[in-house]
Amino acid sequence: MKDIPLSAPTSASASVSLWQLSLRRFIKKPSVMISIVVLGLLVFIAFFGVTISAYHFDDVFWDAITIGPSFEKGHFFGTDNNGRDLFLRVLMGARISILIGIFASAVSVFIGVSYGAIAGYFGGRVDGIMMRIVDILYAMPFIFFVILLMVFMGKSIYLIFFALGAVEWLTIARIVRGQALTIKQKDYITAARSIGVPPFTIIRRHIIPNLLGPVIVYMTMTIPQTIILESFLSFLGLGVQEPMTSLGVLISDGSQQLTEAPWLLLFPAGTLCIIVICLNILGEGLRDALFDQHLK
Amino acid sequence: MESILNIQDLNVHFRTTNGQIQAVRRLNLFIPKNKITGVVGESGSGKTQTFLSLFGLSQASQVSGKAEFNGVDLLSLSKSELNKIRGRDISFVFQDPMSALNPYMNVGAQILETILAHQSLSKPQAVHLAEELLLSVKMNDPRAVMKKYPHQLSGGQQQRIIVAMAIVNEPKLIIADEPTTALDVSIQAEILELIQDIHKSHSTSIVLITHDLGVVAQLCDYVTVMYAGQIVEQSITSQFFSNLKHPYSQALMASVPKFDMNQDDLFPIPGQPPVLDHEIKGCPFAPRCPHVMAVCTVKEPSMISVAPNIMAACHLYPQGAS
Repeated sequence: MKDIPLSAPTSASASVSLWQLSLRRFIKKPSVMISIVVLGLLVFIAFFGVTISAYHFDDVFWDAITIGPSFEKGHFFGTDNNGRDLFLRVLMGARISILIGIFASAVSVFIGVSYGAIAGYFGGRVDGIMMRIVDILYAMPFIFFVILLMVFMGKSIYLIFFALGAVEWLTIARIVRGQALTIKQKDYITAARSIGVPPFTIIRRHIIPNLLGPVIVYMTMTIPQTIILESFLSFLGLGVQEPMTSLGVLISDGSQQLTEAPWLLLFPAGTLCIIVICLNILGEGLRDALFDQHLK
Repeated sequence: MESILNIQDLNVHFRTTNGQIQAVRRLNLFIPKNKITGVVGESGSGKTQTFLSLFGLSQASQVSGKAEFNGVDLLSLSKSELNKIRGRDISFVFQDPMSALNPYMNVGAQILETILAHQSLSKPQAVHLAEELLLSVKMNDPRAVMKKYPHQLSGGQQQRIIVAMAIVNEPKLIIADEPTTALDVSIQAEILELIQDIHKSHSTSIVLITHDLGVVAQLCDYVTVMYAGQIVEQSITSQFFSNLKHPYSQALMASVPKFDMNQDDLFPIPGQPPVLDHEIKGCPFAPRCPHVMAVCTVKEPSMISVAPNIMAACHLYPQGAS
C-alpha cells in the first residue's frame, strides 16, 4: 500500500463547518422559522414604518386626544392623552428597545468574552485577580451603579447602552471563563502551543470560537433581559427621556391609565411580549442546534 | 554518538489536592541524533510529562534540571524563546488526532497557522507549501482537503494531517506521543510507515512514546524503559528483545499477550506502580520485583552499563564503587 494515496472522502458537500451544520439544524425547526419571520417583520416595520409614515412619532393630533383604536381615523392603536398616535410611538419604542437590546448585549458579549477567555486561559493568579474584580462588581447594586453613572455623566441614551452592557458582561465573563478552563485542557490547545502560537492568538483563534456556542445562546437570553431592564430603568425615570420613547416608557405611562385607556398599556406590552417570546424561542432553538449534534 | 537532546537530573513536580506528585524523578536521558528512540512504560510512568515539561507544555508546578537541546539548555529559556523553538526545531504528534485538531477551524487554516508561525512566506506561498506537504503525507487532492473540517475526515486522515503539521517546518526533533494508540490497527501501520518514511527522507530525530513493544521492535533504533518517573533500562533495539536486563523490562515483555498463548499463560505484573507523592527509598520496582534483594529497599540503583550498548538501573548487576 506504499504508494497508493488515500483519497479524501467524497461527501456531497465539499466543506461544512460545525457552524454551518448547526445553522442547518437551526432553521429546520418550524417554531424557529416562525419566530424569525415575526421578528423580522416587526423589525422591518419598526425601522422603516416610522420613516415612511407621513406623521412624526411625536406629532399631536388635537382633534383626537385619548381615543381608542380606530381604523376610520387612521389611529390603529389609538392615541395617548397628548393626542399622539400610539402606533407610531410603539414602533418608535420597539426600535429603541431593540437597538438597546442588541447594542448593550453586543457590548457585554465583547467585554465578557475577552475578559473571561483571558482569565480562564491564563489561569492561576491572573484568573484569581480578574474574577475577584468581577465578584466585587457583582456585589454592587445595579440601580445604585446606574444612578452613580447618571450623576457623573449626565443622562443620555449612550449611557444606557453602557450601563446595561457594564452589568451584563459580568455573567458572560463567568460563563466564558468556565468554558475556557475546560477548553484549554484540550489537545488542540496543547498542539497549538507546541507549534509556537503566541498566547493571545491561541485565545482568539482556538479558545474563543470553541466557546461561542453557549455565549450565543446566552446572548439571545440577554437581549430580552436587557430590553426589560431598560423598560425598568425608563419606568423609574432613569432611562429614555421624553419625547423619545421606548417600550418601557410606553408601558409605564400606559399602566397609569389602565382603567380609562387600557389600549395604552395593551399594545406596547403586547409588542414587548412578542419580541421577548420570539427571542426566547430563537435562543432555545440555537441551544438545540448547537449542542444536540445528533438532532436531525 | 551525538545527542539531539541530553536530559540531566530532570525533576517534574505537580501540586495536587493530595500533595505534591513527583512525576519525573532525577531523570537522565540521552536521545541520539538522527535516530528513532522508543520510550516505553506503563501509564503514569512519566513518559509524556518528561517531554511536555521540557518544552513548557506541561501544567507542572515545578520543573528543574538541565536539558541540552541542540546546544541550548531548554530549562533556562524564557517563555518567548521557548515559543520560538516549539514548532520550528521541535514538534509534537499527539495521541488522539480527533482532539488535536481544532473542530472550528478548517484543516488548511490550521496547517497555515503552523507554517506562518515560523516562516515568513506570503499566503499563496504558504498555501502552496501546505499542498505539497499534504501530498507528501499521501493525502490526495490537497486543495479539497484543506477546505475540510476535522469532523469530515477519518482518524487516519486526521493523523496524517497532524504528522504533516509536525514536519512542515523541518524540525530537528519530533516527539510522537502514542501516535497510533487511538487508531485502528490497519491505520496504525500506515501512520508508522509514514513516520519511518519521514525519518528516512529527512533524517529527523524522533522520540516515539508508546505502550506497544511491537511498535518499538518494528521502528526504533533505541529503546528506553521508564518506570515511576525514572529510566530503568536503555538499550539498542537489536539487542533489547533478546537480552532484557532489568526485571521490569522482563516483566513488561512477559505481560504482552501472544497468539500462541493460553489465557492462563498471561503474566500481568503483580501489584501497582508506586504513587509518587512521597520520596521512594531504594528501587521503585522493588515491591513488585521477583528478584528483590535486601539492598533494593535501601539503596537506589544507578544506571550502569551492564552489557555493550545496554544500560540498566538494577542491583542484580554489580554497581560501581559509589
